[in-house]
Amino acid sequence: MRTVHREPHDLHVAVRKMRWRLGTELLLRLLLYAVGAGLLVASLTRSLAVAFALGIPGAVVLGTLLLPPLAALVVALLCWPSAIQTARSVDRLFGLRERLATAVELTEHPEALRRARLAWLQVRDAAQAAAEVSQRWPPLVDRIRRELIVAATFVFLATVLLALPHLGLSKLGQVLPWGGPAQPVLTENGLVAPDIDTLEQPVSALPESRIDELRAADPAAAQATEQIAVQRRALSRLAQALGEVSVGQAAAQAIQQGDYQTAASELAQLAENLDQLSPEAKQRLAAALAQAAQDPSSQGSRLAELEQRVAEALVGAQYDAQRRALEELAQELARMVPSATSPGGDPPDELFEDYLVSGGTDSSGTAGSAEGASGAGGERWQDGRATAGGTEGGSGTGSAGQTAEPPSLTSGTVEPSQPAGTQASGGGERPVMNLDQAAPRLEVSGTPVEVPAQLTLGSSDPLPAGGRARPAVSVTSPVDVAPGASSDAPALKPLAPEQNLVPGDRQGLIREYFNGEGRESSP
Amino acid sequence: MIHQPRTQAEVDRLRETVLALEHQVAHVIVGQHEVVRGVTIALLAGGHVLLEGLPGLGKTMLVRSFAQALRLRDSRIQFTPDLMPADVTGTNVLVEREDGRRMFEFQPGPIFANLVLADEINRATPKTQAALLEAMQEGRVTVGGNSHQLPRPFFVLATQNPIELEGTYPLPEAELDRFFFKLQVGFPSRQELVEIVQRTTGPDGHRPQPIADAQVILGLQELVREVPAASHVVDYAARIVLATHPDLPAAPEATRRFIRLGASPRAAQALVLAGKIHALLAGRFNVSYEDVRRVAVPALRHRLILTYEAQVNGVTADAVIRQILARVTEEA
Repeated sequence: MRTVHREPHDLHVAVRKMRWRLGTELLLRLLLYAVGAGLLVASLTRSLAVAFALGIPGAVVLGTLLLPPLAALVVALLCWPSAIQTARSVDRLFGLRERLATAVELTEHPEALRRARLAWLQVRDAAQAAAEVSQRWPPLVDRIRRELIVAATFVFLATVLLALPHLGLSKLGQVLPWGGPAQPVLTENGLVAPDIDTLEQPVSALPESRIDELRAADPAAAQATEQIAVQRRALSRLAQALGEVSVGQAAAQAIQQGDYQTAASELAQLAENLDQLSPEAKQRLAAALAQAAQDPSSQGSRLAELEQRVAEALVGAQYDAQRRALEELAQELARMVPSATSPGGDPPDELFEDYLVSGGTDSSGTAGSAEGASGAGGERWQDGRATAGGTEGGSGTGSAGQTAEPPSLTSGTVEPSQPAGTQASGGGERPVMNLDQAAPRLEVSGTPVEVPAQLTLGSSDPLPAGGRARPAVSVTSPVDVAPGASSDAPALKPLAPEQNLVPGDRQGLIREYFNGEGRESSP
Repeated sequence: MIHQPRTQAEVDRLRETVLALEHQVAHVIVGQHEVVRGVTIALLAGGHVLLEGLPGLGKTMLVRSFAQALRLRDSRIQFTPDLMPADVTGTNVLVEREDGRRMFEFQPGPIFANLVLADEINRATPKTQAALLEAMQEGRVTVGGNSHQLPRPFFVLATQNPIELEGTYPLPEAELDRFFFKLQVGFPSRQELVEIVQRTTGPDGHRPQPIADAQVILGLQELVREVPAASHVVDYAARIVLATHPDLPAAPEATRRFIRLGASPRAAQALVLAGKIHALLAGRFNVSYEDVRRVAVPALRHRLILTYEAQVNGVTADAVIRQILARVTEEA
């Protein structure tokens, strides 16, 4: 009987050793996977951070490295095999035909052990099998060979990923649109292409640090830029207020399109027909205008004052006062037109960008700086746009524009040239821009610049009826014909400023173009 | 109550007895090792066997050989359409005693034997077949309101011809379920056929020598039930049986297509009990997955009612069972 009772004990000892082995193997397996995966993720994170200049803290990288092993440890402890699980695993592993599992189950239930009279023989058989298996348990390395291979593969991949930035991956981030800070991208003609995202970004949305940078480098330019931005915002709010009533939507739309003359005339017409406006519409318009006038950014401005006056008049019952106030607002709108637009339709942020692209080298004189910024912006666009305007317009003379030298951006801006279609004399070839010719960076501050394009004359295509002519953009310098221009083409002559006036019916079109819509379709 | 543990000697004696029994039968029956092993397992499990095979393949000889080798009282019932239940179970007959008084006295039928050969059982009417139900399940018969205990061990070996459909009555499911195994007696190979001819055309053949009696058989039947089976192995057997039910969500595709009615709980009992005997005969004291798999086909094939699609396509129950075994995993 003593022999019989020793069998369960021997079996338990053997199974306990097997549990430890299997648990250790499980832990090592999970750790190998986790360490490999952690290394891979950490190196991937590090490589991405380097490649795209992402500011990933070191703690995050360290966390990705350490978290998987910790998780593996926890999982291994939670999944540590029980005695019966160990027995089943060993049965399966060594083909013991469920000997161990049956015996462990029997010893865990003494009642069953007593009832089954063959149970003792079975337990003894299992104990013998367990002892035999313990002696031929394969080495640990053999048991976790697959995991070792996988972990080694992970380590290799991690090493490769860590080495990638040194192999040139960091340049990838400069090219990819989502990678890192925006860098100037060179076009095929060597010019710096504008960053559309930055150009479309309003000044108010620019980072404070960049505005400060502008203020420090050129206070006058910064002030002019901010003034323009303020005026634009005020006009935008006015348009929004006018849009509250149906009769004011035409004026609102004209303001939004930059056609302030039309907007002023629409307002004047509204003043004339004010008696036809219902009291409710007047109230709505008054409320909207009062709200626009209360905007903190436009406090104290003439426009805000007039808006407030109109609002108060509309609340009252005097028709003459209402009409007078609206007319004054229309006059102010018409008067402020030149100061709210730039010749190329350059938004203030574009001026800022121009300034940044020019390297901030020109800071001589306030007027010159502002104008230079404007000119540079216009010229930058001229590389691919102003010239294109001449091209698409079928300009026979190929005139790219005319120089206008305003004293300052606010007091006098560069006027857009007459649309090329209207200015074309015909008979020549269409001007073609030679993009292969390397164009120098344009100077700013009103100094003469050269158009980096080779213009040839060809047959002028008449504009289709109702077609939109692309305006030739005026620049702040006379145009020089490139040496490679066609010899039989008539020489390009610089236009006098008075010749470069834009007819009134075309101004809206030009402003629309330079306010952004035309850019999207420019070649 | 604490039983005295079995010793290795007892188990060894069982194995020797079984090996000797099979050896004695093999003197008469050529080949058919699987059938002989199946009959042996059913005998040790206390179950009944349905032998299916063509005429002349030695089914009756097999039963007689077992009876002779085990020194058991055997009987043979030739089932025919006009066989009455009383012809099987026995009946009360009017006898006149010495004092002149007359009284009914029970005359036992041929079923009162240790080993009953029910030859061509599917030729009898369902009424007569039903007479076997009580005997096979409970080991007794009831005639005229009186129950009569059958001798132990009681072992029915029934045969049926698979191709003769004219004038046959297929066994009802309830009776089929009472057979522990259904064994198919196949045609012998050329060598086996030559051996059969040589043995049966010469002088008197070998007669099996008795190697055990009823008491030994009963002792062995008791012993095999004490083989322990782990819970996960029993669960495996249960999952196999459940996988034969087409209306259960976990049923394999083969089950849903080809099985109309699945196996009963008796099938699970048969799987585990036959697995125990198989393990013991294989030298182990516990049931393994492999033991269950090895006995699954004879334990299940007569318990599955196939669909019309299976019958039309010639899909056999054995093929379906093999697919089920392939689908049911060892670990739940």
